[in-house]
Amino acid sequence: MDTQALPKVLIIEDEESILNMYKFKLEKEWFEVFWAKNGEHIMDIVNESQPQIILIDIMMPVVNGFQALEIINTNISYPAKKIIFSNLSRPGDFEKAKLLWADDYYIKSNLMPKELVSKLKLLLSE
Amino acid sequence: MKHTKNTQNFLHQISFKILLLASFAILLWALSFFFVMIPKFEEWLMEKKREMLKEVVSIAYSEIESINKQYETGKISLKQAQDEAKYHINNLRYWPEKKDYFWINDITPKMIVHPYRPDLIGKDLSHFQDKKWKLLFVEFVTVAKKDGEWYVDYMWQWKDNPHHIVPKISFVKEFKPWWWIIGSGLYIDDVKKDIANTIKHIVIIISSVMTIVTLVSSYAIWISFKIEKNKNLAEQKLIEKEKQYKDFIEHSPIWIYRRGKHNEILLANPSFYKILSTYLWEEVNSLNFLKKIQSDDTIIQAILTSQDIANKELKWVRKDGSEIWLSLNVSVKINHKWEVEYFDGIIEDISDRKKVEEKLKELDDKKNEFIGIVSHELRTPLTSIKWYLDMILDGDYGEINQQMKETIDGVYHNSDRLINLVNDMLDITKLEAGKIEFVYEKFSLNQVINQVFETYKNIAKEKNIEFVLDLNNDVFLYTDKQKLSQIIINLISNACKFTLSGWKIILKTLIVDSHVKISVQDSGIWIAKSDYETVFSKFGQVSNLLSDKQKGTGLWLSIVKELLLQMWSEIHLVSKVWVWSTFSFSFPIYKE
Repeated sequence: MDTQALPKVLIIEDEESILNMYKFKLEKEWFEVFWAKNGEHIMDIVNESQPQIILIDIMMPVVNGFQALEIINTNISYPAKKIIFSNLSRPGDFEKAKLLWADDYYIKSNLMPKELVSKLKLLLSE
Repeated sequence: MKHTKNTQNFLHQISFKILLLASFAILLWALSFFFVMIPKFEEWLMEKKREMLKEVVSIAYSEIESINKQYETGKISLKQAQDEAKYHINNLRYWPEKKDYFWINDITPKMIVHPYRPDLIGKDLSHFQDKKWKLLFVEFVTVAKKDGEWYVDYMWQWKDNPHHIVPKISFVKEFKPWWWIIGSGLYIDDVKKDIANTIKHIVIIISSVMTIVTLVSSYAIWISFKIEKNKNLAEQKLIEKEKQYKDFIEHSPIWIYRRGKHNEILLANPSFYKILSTYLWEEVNSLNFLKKIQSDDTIIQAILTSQDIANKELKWVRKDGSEIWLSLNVSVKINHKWEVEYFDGIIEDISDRKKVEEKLKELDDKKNEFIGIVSHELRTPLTSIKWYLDMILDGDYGEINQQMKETIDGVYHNSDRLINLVNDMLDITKLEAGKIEFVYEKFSLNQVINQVFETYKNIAKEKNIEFVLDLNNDVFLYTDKQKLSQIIINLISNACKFTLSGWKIILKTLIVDSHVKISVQDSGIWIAKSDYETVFSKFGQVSNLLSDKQKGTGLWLSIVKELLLQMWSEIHLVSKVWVWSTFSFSFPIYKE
């Protein structure tokens, strides 16, 4: 399969082992996966990889998920789906995500790998 | 006590003085009675007797005079007249005992009539002496001749007894036509006896009267002292009580006041100095403190309508600039005209309590934050474990054999339980913090119940539990659909957990008036009434042998309870020992 035609997903996640797991599953399901360790210099990676979907963890060092989302919102030049992807669901987190134009909020522990894949595929078909 | 003693001493002194004065008065009266009044009285009585003597002699005189008139008119001769007079006077007696008599002698002096000394009749008495050698008949003649009539003292025999000589007083009067001297005398002893008798009677009467008066007045004094003493004691007690109350109010750390309807302070204890950090009463007034805190219409309305105590908590900036929290309790006194008479209030500095409350709130927030973070930290590795296991089970990493599949399946379910536990903890924390958002919408109840039923009938089947659905007609509810679904799921999960293999669970709806009652009945472990509350507390499952074997988070029911409370409903539990437990709750039916 031509790698140019694969849907691109950018995962912003500080935990490498978790990232590797997502990467493994998504690549198996024919996604091209990019990775950023946190929100720092995020626009460089976004501009370079041009992902259709950006999965953003919240709890990250240096620049956290919400800050990263804000940076992306202000600087991105094309429509991309931005999804908060975290186990954190403190009071107010959902509201904050909504205010920052996140397209969805996934709770990691509630989603099985195959469910994530089907959700992302559905999102791409919209 | 000291006051009481002083009062008693004072009373003793007073009573002693009064008694002394009374005794002195009585003594003075007695002295004057015996040494002034009685001699005066005796004198008076003696005078009376003498007058009486004079009178009786005058009567005898007039008798002779009337006989003489008969002679002068020629009715009788002189001798006849004189004989009749002699006879008449000889038999004339007076006094109750009729022992007193008259005698007659002529101016010679020669005895003419004497009832008790017939031996002297006709004899010359010019040498007759009494015991004191008084020439008494000569004296009679002298006295009578001189003044016509008068008194003479002398000694004479007692009646007809010539051996018993006693003092006597006589009154003599000359009957000139015949040169006769008529006399009669009183025995002085008789008079004295008479006087003594009269005085005795008077003394007895006066003594009795005095005794009665003394007794009555003593009793009156005693009673009045007693009353006075009791009055003093009561007054003392009243003063002491008042002092106690005053001390109690004055030293109270709470500000107690009474305010008139025009905001003037009628009564107050000094605690406001401390509370308002001020030193002058004028300052308190000028702050118009009460007006500011009581002018709130709501508080006045509250007390006026409820006729009870209204409470208000408010922040106040003190004179020194520091902020304090005050608690104000006010009651109102309404008069019979239904007008406000005054307000009674207590004001307390509750700053410390407020600080603690704020601190507690802060700690609670921190706890919630902590649990949130910890849950996240736990969920992340657990999720990745579950993901890996899921991927292995899905064959993403290649084919696995049956034994490996079963083992990994076990690990998968246990990690799932751990995640659920963490999720539940997070839920209850958020619920308690009131930070769960509710999305209200209109939906079909049976649709929600059927969805839950579809999910859980297989789980029940796996445990060999019969899951029965018993639904009334479908109704619409207007509440949070997801939360309601979670409530039912939690109750079903709980029922599944405690129902033994071969028994059944009934999920039932029942329309009662404008409400629908949703209940989940299990055939599980019985719950004693005393444990009803424990069941709904965090990790508060009923502890017994059977339930200890069960696994679960113990948070399901507390989540149900909290959710229902925030959705304006309530969980009810009824349990029949060893037979069933029913959890139920109601929601109003939505009507367009």
